[in-house]
This record gives sequence, structure tokens and C-alpha cells, in this order.
Amino acid sequence: MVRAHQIVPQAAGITCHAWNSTGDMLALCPNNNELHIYEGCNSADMASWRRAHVLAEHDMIISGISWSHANNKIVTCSHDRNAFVWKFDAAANRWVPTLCVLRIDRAALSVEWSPDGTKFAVGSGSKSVPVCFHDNSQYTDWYVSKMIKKHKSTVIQVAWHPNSQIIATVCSDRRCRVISATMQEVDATADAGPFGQPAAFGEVYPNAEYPCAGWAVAAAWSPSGTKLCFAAHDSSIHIVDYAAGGTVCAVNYSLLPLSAVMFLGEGAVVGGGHDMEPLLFSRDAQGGWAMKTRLDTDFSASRKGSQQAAVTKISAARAMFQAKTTRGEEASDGVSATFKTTHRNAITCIRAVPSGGGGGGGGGGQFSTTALDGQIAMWETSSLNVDMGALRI
Amino acid sequence: MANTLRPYLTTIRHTLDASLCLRNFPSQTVERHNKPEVEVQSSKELLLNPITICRNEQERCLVESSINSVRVSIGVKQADEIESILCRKFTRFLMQRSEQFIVMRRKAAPGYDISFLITHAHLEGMWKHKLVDFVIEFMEDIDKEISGMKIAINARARIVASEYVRQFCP
Repeated sequence: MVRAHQIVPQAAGITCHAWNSTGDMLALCPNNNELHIYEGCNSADMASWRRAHVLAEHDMIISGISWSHANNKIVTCSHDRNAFVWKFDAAANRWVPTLCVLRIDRAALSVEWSPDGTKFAVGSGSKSVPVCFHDNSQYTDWYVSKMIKKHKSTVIQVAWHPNSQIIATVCSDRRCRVISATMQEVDATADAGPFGQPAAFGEVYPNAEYPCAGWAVAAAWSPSGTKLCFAAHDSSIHIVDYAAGGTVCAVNYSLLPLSAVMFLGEGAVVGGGHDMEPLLFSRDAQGGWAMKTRLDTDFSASRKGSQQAAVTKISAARAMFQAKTTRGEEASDGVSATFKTTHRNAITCIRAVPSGGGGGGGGGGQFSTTALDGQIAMWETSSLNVDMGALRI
Repeated sequence: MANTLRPYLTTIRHTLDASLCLRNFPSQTVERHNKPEVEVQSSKELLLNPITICRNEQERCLVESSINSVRVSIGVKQADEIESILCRKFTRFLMQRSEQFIVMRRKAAPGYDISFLITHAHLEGMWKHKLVDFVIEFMEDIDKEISGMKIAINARARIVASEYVRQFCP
């Protein structure tokens, strides 16, 4: 089941969003330099979510938001080359920004906290990935960065391994790389995750540079950290299974490319992009991966088909001409008849909703999607027609 | 004639639908800039292979895609000299007013009569299917418009000539 809400005007659109650890607060960027923070998001009535803070510290569009569930800090990055870490000051009831020294001279495109909340990585147009950590060696309160420079083009997205020491980067040079982000400053012991030998900071793990035919645009790790999924602009997703010795399974599907992916448990991947609806990929009987279904049109075709039935021929004709004159639309119901999907523009971001958040009733967990049409949609995984045992966010 | 026009336009429609998968992509060469990559062509890896869709030698359509913008150039049918003059005048008239068409380029790509430049910002502000419809409808209408003008010119020439000749034969 899907519930959608027009949270910002349709002309604005949403570039990215993030949930807090309890799922009652939501941060999003309405395609400009502002960060909006909503409260009361555990209510099932999405219209009752209220905008509590508008933070305008950046001076260009915010391209990435990440909310650390470990320490309740928000990090935002923007095309103005800066990133800010926001800390909530409960006494003054306001969010206080801390500047980060990213040392990049091009736009920042995405940002992600490590799962343990000690560092964050920024994908940037300067063909590098600054990994930032809080510097408490001197009497300063800021974040300093160490650079990963292995890329030949813009790094579009970064994804952290659950052990917080490995990142996957997707880059417009048509590569996905798995890189060590182990830092002596914050990590007590080096952990190589699925790789045997820990690599030095900034080194690509051996045989972990995966080429694809289009720009690599999105990446995600499975909850256990044994699988990596990345999507490319050639309408394909690739799943690397480290439990099976790092074999790559490529899935080419016949729809438009994705721009965000997320694992639902170990056996399924959901992706959203230019098709304006989430697509579900899961393991098939042979142990490979395949596209399973489109989550919106396939499931709700019957529901939407029965909605519009004009009472008489005359009223149908009248509605058609009215739509033509007022909106320049050919179909009788204007825009909503043209769109079979909930979202009406490309999906930009997919996030898992923490349990209890978003007003979800079902126990199976949910994920949220935001798109350039300014809507946020909440999808309940329990209503998806897939093996429920494998689906736990 | 019409039965070859339909597949031509359908192909263009599907190509545009697949090409218009754009993202907001800031420049990786110039600081704090955000330029259509298909125009600046500064990074080869951000461009896709251009696609040409032809109906015949003159009627063709070039779709050049990049990560954040698409350039669509259209060649219009010009069967004779009158049509090529009409086409030149008409596209010039439109391109001088390109602001009003939002996605129209002020100058056509070399070898083509008229060009459109669609960026990610256009897709954020407008319905994608309407944008594609606009380009397709434009291609349909420009042919219609030019052949209509050609008929009007011929009719006018005939009237002028007969009026002129009439004064010699009372």
C-alpha cells in the first residue's frame, strides 16, 4: 500500500530527504538552498506533519542530507562546495550548524554518515571523496577531511558498509569502486568486512572496481554487508555477492534508469528513478537476480482503472472538452489520467523509515520515496507480493 | 505519405522519452557553475552517443544527450526553393522569439533548421510527457505551416498574375 503527500509545492520538487532514528522527524530539501525539518511525522495523517525549522545556511541547492541515527546529527552538502553538520540545541530549540572543511573546489553531490556516526563521506564534482571526522585534537569544533582520490569523474553517490570502514562510490566514469575508509583517528581496529586484508585509507580493495556501461548513479549495501548493489544509467543494476566470492550479477531491465537503490533485507532491492515508481528486484529460483515487479502500476492497476468511469457519454465528452480548454490536456481527467503512478516526476531519493515512523501501521516496515514533483510517498513492504521472510528493513 | 510520418514521429517520441532521463549535475570543470554539458562539451564521459533519426535526406532529427541536458535538432522538409525560403524565414522568426518557447535554442545546430535544448531544470518545472508532446507537435505543425504558406503564395501569385494580365486584354 502506498500513501503519498504533497509536502512541498509541485513546482519545487524534493532533491533528498532523511529520517531521524525514531522516525518522527523528517529533513528534506525543496530543491533550493533550504533545509526543512518536519515534526510529528509519526502521525498517520501526513497532512498534519508540521514544518518546525527552515535552515538556510547554504547558498546553493542542497544535494544531500544524512541524519545520523547514532548521534542525532544532520549533515547537509550543497552545490556551493560546503557541508554543514547540524546539532540540535534543545535549550534554544534551534539547530546549530558546524562548518566542515571539505577542501573540494567543485560542487558536493551527496553525503552520507557512517552507520556508527563518527565520520561522513561526501561525493563531489572535484573527482574526489572527502571523508570527514570531528577534530577534537585541538581546541576547535569542526570537521576535517581526508581525501580519497581514485576517481576520473564526478562521484555521484557514496554508500557506507555497515562496519563504517568501507565505502562504495559510484562515479560518472562508469565505475563503482569499493574503497577503504579506515582511519586511525576514529577507528580502534581496522576491519576489512568481506575482504580479508584491510587496505590503507583511500585504497581501492583488490578486484573491487566494477565497470558498467552507463554512468554509475546509485549504490547500497545489504544490512549484513555481504552484498553490494549499484545501479547504472544503462538501465541495469549489478549485485555483488561477497558471500559467494565477489561474483557480480548484472540485471538489465527494459525500463528507464534508476537514481536511487536500497536493500530490503538480503534478498530484495528496491530502486526508484526516471520511471517515477519504485521497481523491485529479488532473487530468482536459480539464485540469480531478476526484476520482479513495478511497485506502483502493477499493483494498483485495478484500483486506478476503476476510479474514473464517466456517468454518461455526454458528461464524458463535456469533461474532455473542458480539460482541453482549461489545461490543454487530451485526456478527460487531465494529468492524473496521464499518470498511472503516484509520483509524477523522477524519484530522487529512497530511505528506509525507522519503525514507528511515518505513521505506518503494518509491522513489516516501510520505505519512503521523494521525487521532483514535491511528493513524499510511504510504501509498506508487508503489502508487496514478495517473500516476506526475506524482507526486513 | 502520412503512413511514413507516423513511425518517424513515434521513433522520435520513444527516443526522447529515453533520452530525457536527466539529473541536476553541476559542472566538474568550472567552480560553482551548472551548465548544460551537451553545450559546453568539456567532459567526454558525460556525453552519450548522438542519435540521428531520418525519414529521408532532409527530414531528420538529431538527439544529442548528456548527463544533464539534451539537444534536439530538426531538419525540415524543403522540396523546392520556395519551401526552403519559407522554412528559413519561419524558423528565423521563431528563433528570434525563443524565450517564449523556453526550450528553443536561439541558433540551430549546423546542418539543421531548428534546435531545442532541454535541461534538467525544464524537466523539474514541466511535465515530461508534455515536453515530448511539444516537440512532436512542433514537428507536425511546421510541415503543415510551411505547405500552407506555400499554397497561399501560389494562390496569391495566380491572382496577382491574372489581375496583371487582365489590363492588357480588356
